[in-house]
Amino acid sequence: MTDPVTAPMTAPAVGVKVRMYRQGLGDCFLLAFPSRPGQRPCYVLIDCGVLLGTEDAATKMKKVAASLRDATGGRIDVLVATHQHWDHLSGFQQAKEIFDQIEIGQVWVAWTEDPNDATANRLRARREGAVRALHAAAQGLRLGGDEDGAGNLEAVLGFFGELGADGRPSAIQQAMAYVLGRGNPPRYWHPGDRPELPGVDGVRVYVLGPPRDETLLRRSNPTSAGEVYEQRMALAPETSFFVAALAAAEAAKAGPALAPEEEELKKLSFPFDKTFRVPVETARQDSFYQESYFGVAGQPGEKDLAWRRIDTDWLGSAGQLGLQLDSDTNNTSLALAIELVGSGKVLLFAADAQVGNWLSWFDLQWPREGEPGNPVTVSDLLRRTVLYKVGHHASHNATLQARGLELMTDPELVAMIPVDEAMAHKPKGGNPKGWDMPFSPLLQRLQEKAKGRVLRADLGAPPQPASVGAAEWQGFEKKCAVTPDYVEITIAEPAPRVRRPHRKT
Amino acid sequence: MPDASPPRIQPPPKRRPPFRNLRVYAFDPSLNWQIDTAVINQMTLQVPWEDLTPGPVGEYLEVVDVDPASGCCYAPVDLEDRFLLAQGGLDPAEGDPQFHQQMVYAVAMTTIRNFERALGRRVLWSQAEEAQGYQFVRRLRIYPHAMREANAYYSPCKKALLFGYFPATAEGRNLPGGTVFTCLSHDVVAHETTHALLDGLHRRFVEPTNVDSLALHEGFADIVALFQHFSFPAALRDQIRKTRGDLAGQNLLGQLAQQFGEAIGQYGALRDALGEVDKVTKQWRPKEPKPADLAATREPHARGAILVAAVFDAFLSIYKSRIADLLRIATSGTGVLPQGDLHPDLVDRLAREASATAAHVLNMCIRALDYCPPVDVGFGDYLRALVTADRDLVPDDDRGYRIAIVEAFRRRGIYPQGVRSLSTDNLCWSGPLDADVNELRKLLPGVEDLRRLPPDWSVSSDRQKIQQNMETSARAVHDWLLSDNGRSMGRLVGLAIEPTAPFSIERSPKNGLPKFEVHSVRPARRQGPDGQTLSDLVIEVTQKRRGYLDAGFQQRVDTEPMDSPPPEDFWFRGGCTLLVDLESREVRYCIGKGIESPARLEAQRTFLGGPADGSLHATYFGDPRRQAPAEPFAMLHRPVEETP
Repeated sequence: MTDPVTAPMTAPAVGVKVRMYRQGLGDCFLLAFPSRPGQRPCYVLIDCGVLLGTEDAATKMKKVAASLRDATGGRIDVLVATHQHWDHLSGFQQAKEIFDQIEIGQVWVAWTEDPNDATANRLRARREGAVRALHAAAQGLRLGGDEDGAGNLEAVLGFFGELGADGRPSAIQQAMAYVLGRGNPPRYWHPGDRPELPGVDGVRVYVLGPPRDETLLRRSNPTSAGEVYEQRMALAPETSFFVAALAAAEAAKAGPALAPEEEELKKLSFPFDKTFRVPVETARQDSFYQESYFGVAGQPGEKDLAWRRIDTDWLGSAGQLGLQLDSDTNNTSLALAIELVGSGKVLLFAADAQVGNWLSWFDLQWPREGEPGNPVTVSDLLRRTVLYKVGHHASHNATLQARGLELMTDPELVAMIPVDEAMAHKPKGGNPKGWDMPFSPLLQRLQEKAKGRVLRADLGAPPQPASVGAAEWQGFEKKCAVTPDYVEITIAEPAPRVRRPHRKT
Repeated sequence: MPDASPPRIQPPPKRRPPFRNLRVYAFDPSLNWQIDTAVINQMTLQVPWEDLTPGPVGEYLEVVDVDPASGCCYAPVDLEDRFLLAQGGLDPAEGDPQFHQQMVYAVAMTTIRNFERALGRRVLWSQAEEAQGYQFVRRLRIYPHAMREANAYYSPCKKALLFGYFPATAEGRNLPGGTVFTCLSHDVVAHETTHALLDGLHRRFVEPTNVDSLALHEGFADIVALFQHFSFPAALRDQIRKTRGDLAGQNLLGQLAQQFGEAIGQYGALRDALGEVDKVTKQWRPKEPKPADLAATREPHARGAILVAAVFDAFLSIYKSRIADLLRIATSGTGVLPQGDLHPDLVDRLAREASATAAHVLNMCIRALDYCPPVDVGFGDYLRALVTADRDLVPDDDRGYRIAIVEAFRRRGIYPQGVRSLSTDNLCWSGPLDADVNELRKLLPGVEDLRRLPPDWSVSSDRQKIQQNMETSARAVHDWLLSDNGRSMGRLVGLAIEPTAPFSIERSPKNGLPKFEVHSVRPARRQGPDGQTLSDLVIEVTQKRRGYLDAGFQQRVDTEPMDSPPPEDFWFRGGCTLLVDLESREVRYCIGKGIESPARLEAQRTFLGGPADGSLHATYFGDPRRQAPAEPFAMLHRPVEETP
């Protein structure tokens, strides 16, 4: 159906070529590793999505998928789906038919997608319930006249794609289900794992996150001992808000009906016994509440009371909860470090990992070949990072500073940012300036650390900074290829050496 | 006529009781779950008597108990019910919404009373801004169960306090999943009421024009909540006994909102003036003040906490100096307390000193509000206001209270700008320069006029009338300033009212001159040198100017008159608080923030113009410094997320 748009992607003799597609605000990275002599390269695809609300999104993603098909000769050796956000997965739903034409070798996902992992299942169930409730809250805000608040919230909920009839995020589930279905079976990675790239020598992959520790996964909202109490159906801190939002939307016929377990939670969530609760309809007939709050419908005094009413103020926390949910989901990102053994160079693909995910890496270590007393640590990997895929479109909260970017001290560092600033800055909800991506202080620091070698999906080739000499810059430019559809960089390696001694940390 | 019953003997008329007794939790319900704190947690507040209708609804407050998240309302409590009158109101009970109504009323009224006592006049809520101008708001509204959220806030646009409730996490003493009511925490109620009281006095303090603006609101609200702890007699005696008089150690009095803090998964109180619980070891440790502390943070709560710590530190120094003699008497001159419990009489005396000291410090902190500039206030301004206010109340600082305050602030890096030394005299606000005194005297009308200006603010007067009279006085002051003499003196009071003023200041359609506002005209009491009570007149004038982040743009709008200037990036406000001696007509202090100050404009531009803080809110919903949220305190009070 789509004509071939690209020739096959080549791999360098030694090293790796990394292609970042330019479909918009979303991640899609294709990596080509050289395989054994005479064989086709090994292709690794990391995510394929674009933000909800992107113009002609399906067309764009079909074009990307067709390019992937042609560039890989119809076979992706490893398909990595980092986490359940639409801007990372939408292509697997929007361009499913094209992916059907592509042979998939292995599917790699984080342990948080594993249907046989109790913690993972609980996290996902909680997330789906939260998305459903927050959409209901957005409806409540809209009915209450707070169009800005509703719009702000819905823009953030856009990370979960379109909803199904039951109010749950169905499109993203379909996308992830499609990916998992191609896995026969998918590999669920845990932090500390060392997966092998099939048919590739001289490359090591380290799984950094997501952490198993739930307090780190939900770093800004630590809970412990949660499991025991959830079995007893006690309320988690946000649950009482969520059931109220759902109940209010149901009552206003603006949301889905409550599920039986939600009905249970609703009963638990009332702060007082039934004897104390006066239904609003009764209170409307009461003289105290008529005079102080409701007024009498149609009478002049009714309007004078309106400015002090608080009918929808309680929904105000939905925005913060939406941001929290977004962050929690980002924290389930499969974070990978890919090491080129010959040179010791490292590529860091941390998806959208947030504070808790990053911090958890520092507890990990891997035995170093031949040097049992000097294990590989994350500080060591960061120090050797030459390519950093900047997290979450370079927002402030997905790149750690002191325990992250500042540890990346390799003079060759290059940053790749899958961002579309114009799309990010489009007005969203009540926010005329849109989202603050890329975050300017982070961008500036990246420019400094990478000496101008910052490849952005929206801008393509970066300008030469005044402080960098022509020869050095040309050397960098030679490694890059920029087309309207993608930006590429080749991390070439010198001819394989016997062994490069590792510096001790 | 059917009326056949004989006339009854009429007793002499009864006097109204001075107080209404109402029972409350001293701190919050969580203290009731431990045997050692349960006994001190029940207390009876004496609230000034007023006639109440169900709600309760009185002169200052109206409690309206709707719970929109639960889709219901709760019946309003009738505190005039004879059963309730006979027993100090309802029993403290978490499960009865009517007790909640009683408690928010009692704690908020206690806070109001502390303000009225300190200021010597009645308090007014900030007026509602409506299309046709400002409207008098008689009662602050209180919604005890407004939302399902670990939050409570003052809504400046609704003139209401909204309290949330939420299920607790599994940390601390709370029942996991059990409901925590913020309206049952003395500290939360006092804190929110204070926000409303401060807004009533200084409407512009809500605007974040510098790094201290919101921090002062937060810190001040905590200070009031904290020092009210020392008016809880049983708790105070208990804590004095447990700490053996050393209030600098960990104790309940220095902690704020314990149940709230634990319920959101913190290991201790929400905030602690003295120390903190180590997240790892769970051990409490005192906080060491460092002059670099203040510069290290821009976050309003963290900065506010430094202000609280400074004031609490000053309190402790004063308390220690006041009990030194008692300790010597009790220990035959050694000052070293023996092992074991303190003598109950000594506990009582120490408690009395602590309580008197706390009342004095609280008084000082509240009175300082009359000595603050009307806009763009910083911690340094507040320190100067504190010292000046105290000098006006207690001319002779023989006990060194003011030195204690300055010392405690200095230890945390809080210095005012533009003073030559940190001696208390230097820190007091100064009057106008000699050359200006005569000018200003010309500006102010004859003594008789001046005396007519402050309306009767005594505690028996009608508050709406006060508001109306104040508006009349404000118009009179406005007219003087518009007179030929007045205009040329605008600069002395921080205004620009000549026709040549920057065009970024809007002109009045009536006279073509720059607009300005007389914000307040109110009396303040002080102590004369001979102990007599004197009255000052506090006049606040303010003006606003369009501010632009681009300095070149600013210059253009300043110099070129335009029919419709481009929309401003921010409002830049200036103005002045004048304290005028009603006897001598002399301007005693002139506490100004000049509208034409280039340095201040640049400072505000730097504050607002820098990159956003990168918080999730700023990333997705917009930078709150530039898009003022409808509910500034709602956002401020939500738990902050961790950023890299």
